[in-house]
Amino acid sequence: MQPLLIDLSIAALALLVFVADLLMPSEEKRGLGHLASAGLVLILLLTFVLDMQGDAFGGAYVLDPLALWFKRVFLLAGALAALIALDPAEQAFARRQGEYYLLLLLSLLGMSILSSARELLLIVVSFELMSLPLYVLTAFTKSSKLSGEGALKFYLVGATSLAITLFGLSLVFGATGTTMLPEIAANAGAIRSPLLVLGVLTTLAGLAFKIGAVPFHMWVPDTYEGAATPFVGFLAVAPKAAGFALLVRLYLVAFAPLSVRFQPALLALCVLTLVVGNVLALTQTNIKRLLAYSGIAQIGYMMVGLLAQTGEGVGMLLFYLAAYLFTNVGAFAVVCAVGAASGSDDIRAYRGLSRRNPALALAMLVFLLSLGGIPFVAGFWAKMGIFIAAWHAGLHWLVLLGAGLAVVGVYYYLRIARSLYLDDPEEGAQPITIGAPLRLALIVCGTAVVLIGIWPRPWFDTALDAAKSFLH
Amino acid sequence: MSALEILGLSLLALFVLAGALGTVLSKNLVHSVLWLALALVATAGIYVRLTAGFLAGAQVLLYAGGVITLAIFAVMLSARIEGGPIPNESAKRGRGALVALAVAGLFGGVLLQADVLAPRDLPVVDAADIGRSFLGEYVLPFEVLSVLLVAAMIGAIVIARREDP
Repeated sequence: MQPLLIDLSIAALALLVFVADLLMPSEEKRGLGHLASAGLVLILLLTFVLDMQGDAFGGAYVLDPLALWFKRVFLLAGALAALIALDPAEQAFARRQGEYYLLLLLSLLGMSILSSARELLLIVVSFELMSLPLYVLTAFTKSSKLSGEGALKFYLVGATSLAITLFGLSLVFGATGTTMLPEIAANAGAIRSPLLVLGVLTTLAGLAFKIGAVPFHMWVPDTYEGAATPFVGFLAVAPKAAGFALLVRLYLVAFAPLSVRFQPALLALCVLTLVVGNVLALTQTNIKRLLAYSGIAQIGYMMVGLLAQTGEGVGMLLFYLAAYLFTNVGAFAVVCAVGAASGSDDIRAYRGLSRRNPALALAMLVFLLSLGGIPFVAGFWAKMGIFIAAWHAGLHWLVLLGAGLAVVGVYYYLRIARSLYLDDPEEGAQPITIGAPLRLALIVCGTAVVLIGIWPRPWFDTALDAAKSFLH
Repeated sequence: MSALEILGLSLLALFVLAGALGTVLSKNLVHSVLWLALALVATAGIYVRLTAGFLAGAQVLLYAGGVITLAIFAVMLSARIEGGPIPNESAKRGRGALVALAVAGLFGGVLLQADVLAPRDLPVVDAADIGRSFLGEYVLPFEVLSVLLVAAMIGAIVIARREDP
């Protein structure tokens, strides 16, 4: 039971929130957010104190350094998301706060199990446990029409991609005769059946939908725009990380003997994602849509790490995910504060933010610099690491393309950064005040982004260590 | 495989295909649902042919029984709210047909190459075996599935409940 301890703790926390929701008077539901956030931080600390590594259920479930890294990313994203949601949740859906945090925790449980799953059935079930609450959470703001539209698109795409993934995995099972990933890895090289190749490619298409890679990305901007902002920060980070956990386990381990067959498809997806994400971000005027397209581009950079197919590539992918977590959650926290104060997510609302709230503008500047990959903040080392790993793996032209597009990215990020400081605020704009929970989240994210930027060494080492024990 | 068996299997496949086409092409939403029922029941027939009796039973009970009934309810209720039949015109049929044919060609080609058409001795799997594997080697996904159902239930309540006062 030792390896399952983290997941069991998350499940117990979900139950605790559920029961507390029933017992609490409806005016004091805010405490549930505190409970969820504090509980997740406690579990996060637990992962550093106890040594729980090992496997269970005949190898179907494993807690290795890779799973541990992902679980920490999820726990941190969940704790920050609960913290950021505290104030907005109380205003927007006071009576439904319990369900909000409960669904958040259940989704987190799904991700956490997924990162440890080494068996196809467990992968499918935990993937759905992650996705289903996300659809509901997207639709949570019932007063907004966009919220329903975004949720419906998200749900339809999610259900379709699940069907495609299931179909692909069933072909894989049919060709290999087992659902255990280690056994698939051992057999895949010897099986000459075209069914296996078809299964592997179909599964890739289904998963590309889930992580929002181009050309399967059309749901991303609408879903981000429609969902409540405090939730989008979570949506943009945690499920994507879970998708990559699965991609690493499936495509770099289980299907590794077939890499010649799926590498071209993965490469095409990666190039399209990089180009389309960066180019479409240029024309956006809504900050949430802009961050959505920029998020698509970031997925492209992470896929470069995957394409390297080396331990170094995976390590840099892990590092990128950590940097991306703090940067993106932080950026969406700022969007949340500005959106609540000005009632708009238009880029114009960010004009002269430095005069309305200097600290908030500084935080946004740090996050934008990190997204753009400017030295010396977290995002710089993340992109650098990915590019170096890809260069070592011989993907020279892909690195040059990625670097070129990163320059395009710098343009649209710095355009906003410039208007934060140099433009005048819109007429009648008031100073912005933010609540204590949001301030705490911003401080955590901002400090982490700067700290990783100045002193990336320990993060690099741990990430490479987590990947090394994994790929030979 | 005897000629009779091939005939039976082809007939089932034809029913599945007809049901699927009817579902997509029908202009009346209720008819679409009924065509879907045909496709689902015919699929259960194919399961019987593959000696998966329990799966066939579950298919009829859950899909033909549960899902179709729910779908008809949903169609009728939304028709009442809308005050008339709901249009069911598929947009961009040409492109849809093209994609469907391309996918069918790809999968058909691969299946023919893969040499899976030769009949094999299929193991008979009954409900007891499935139950044992749920509580044996697949106990963890089985347990996670129950958490998934709780999440689905809570989600349905959240979406269906009235707006906050």
